Amino acid sequence: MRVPSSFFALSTCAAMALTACQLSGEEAVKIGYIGPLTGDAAAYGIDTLNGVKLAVDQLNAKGGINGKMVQVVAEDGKCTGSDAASAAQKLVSIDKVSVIIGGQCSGETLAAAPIAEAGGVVMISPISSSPDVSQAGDYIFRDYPSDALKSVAMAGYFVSEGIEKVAVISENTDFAQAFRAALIKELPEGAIVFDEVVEPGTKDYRTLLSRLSDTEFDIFFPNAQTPATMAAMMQQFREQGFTQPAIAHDVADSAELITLAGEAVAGMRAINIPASGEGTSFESDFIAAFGTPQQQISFTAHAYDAANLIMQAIAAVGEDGSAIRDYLNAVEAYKGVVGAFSFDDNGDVIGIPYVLREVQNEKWTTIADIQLDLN
Amino acid sequence: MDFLLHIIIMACLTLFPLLGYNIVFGKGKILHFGQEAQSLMAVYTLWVLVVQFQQPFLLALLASLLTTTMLSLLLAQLSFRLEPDGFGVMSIALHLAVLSIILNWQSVTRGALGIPRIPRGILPSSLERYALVVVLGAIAWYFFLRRLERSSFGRNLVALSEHEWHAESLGISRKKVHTIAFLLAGTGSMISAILFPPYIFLLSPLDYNFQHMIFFVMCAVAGGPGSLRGVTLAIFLIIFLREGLRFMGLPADILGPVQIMSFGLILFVAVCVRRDTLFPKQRTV
Repeated sequence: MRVPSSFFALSTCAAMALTACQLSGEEAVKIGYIGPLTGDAAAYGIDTLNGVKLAVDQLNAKGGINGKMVQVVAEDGKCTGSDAASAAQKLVSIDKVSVIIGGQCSGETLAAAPIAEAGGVVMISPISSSPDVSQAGDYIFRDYPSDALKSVAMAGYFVSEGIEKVAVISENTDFAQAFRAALIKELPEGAIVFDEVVEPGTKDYRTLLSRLSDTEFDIFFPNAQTPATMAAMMQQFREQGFTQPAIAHDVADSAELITLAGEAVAGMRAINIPASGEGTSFESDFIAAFGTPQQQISFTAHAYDAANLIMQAIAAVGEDGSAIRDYLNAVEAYKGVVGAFSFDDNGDVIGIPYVLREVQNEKWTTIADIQLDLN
Repeated sequence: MDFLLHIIIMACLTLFPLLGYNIVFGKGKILHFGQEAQSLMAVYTLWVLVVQFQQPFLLALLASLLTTTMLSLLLAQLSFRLEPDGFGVMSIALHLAVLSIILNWQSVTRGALGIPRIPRGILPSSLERYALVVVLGAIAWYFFLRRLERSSFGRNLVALSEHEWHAESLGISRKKVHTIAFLLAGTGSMISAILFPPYIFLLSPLDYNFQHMIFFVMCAVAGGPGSLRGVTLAIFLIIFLREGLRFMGLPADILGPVQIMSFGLILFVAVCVRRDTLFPKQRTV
């Protein structure tokens, strides 16, 4: 057998050189971050990472935690389980971080959680919304509400508006499918009269919408993962002459959707957490430091709050994982950009309300608060 | 140390299906790009039955073995009937078809959500012991394939890959030899299906997409198609290189793209070094 010596020599040298590199900042408090920094979901990762960095930079400017600077060790989870597991393993066993902020995609959080749990490292996710995350472990928290709650809010809205027949087109991604599954659970049987799933990134919906024209429905729910896909759904929905109202979730609530879809989303509604951070000093600070967020300002606000809360916990109880976990469990109402919140026994956030938003004059505007009936 | 063990585990878990794939693609020179279809079939049959339908592990394992064998036989049959390029395209289509079924049959597979909380069962809970099990398994798999490679099966496979008509005229049965090769590839996928999801406690379809197939082809080419030792070394080096890039210490805002670009550049250099495998003759006009 011929050994490809040049290739191996080259690779070995590169691997050894890279592995030999050591992170600086031995005296710093290390906070890990896991999120998609490359790939289709990179916009979410970059926004939330910038939210964390803003919080850390602001704290370091004030002298850090008890005189120690805070260092963010960021790892690319690529929105996949195996990459997030590798990232978590490195953060826990090599970098020895005190806490991890992440993952962002629910798949990242679920794969990284057992490693954080085994290492006794607290992990707090700023935007993972899958109901599965609730059972991820004692050290796992999130300051973003579960889709299980948002679907309750949406189902309640349908009841209050007398909406009985819903048409849904869902993108086949973890976020959109988690929401679809939760909504199906909340609605009465037969309420979803049109339920189609499309491949991620699909842009042509004309065939599906032609079939939809044979169905009687009260409202259209474009359940997409990204504003670009939702814009395509809405533009073609209106092009085909449908006049029914449309409603969606967080993904809709972005300026990008209005830019992409224009008139097609006029009057569209969305059920979301409040536009946290919009019009505040946090938003101006964020834009000054990193420019306009690629997704919503509220995602960056959740990451910012997660980082600030974690740093507050470290300042109060030190870097021990179980002490930080207990501190977070005992938080009664942490006042952050997104509102005052605490955590339940599963580490799920409590206190983040929902609002009904509508596109008016080419801007998203809050038109009502939504009360959740959890009984 | 834990991170090192983790990387070794990940490399070994990649080694099972990849060395099986190397028998078909590298040794047999069959233009097969459907290895991940076999992996998907094996892993989803097993864990859907265990987690979603609460069936006993051994029963699920048997069912998984059955479905993976059937898919391997289907692939073998297709390879007999199609021209090499046609089979290459067909195997890609088969992978995408299986992936599409898994993503869309949500009542059973949970689609894009994947299946969380995969149990470890009798597999060890500590990282060190898991690494020991996986490494011992990988060594056993390596030597099993090496023994096969040096047996009449290996020689027949090489003979068929070098000149099929001549080999068949000498009494070597293409159908028998290639069917065994596809079954070996399926066996590699089976072993990985048993060990990988319990390791990360999650079964996600994203871990079996076409990008992973490209990674398989890349490792097979970089290590020298058909070479057990070369491909094994390539798997370890490429995975260590990929994970080693996490230590570059770059600013967070450029970290992701620069890591990807660096990995691409290193692979480009590696492929240039290995161009004799990709292009047997220097092309001249």
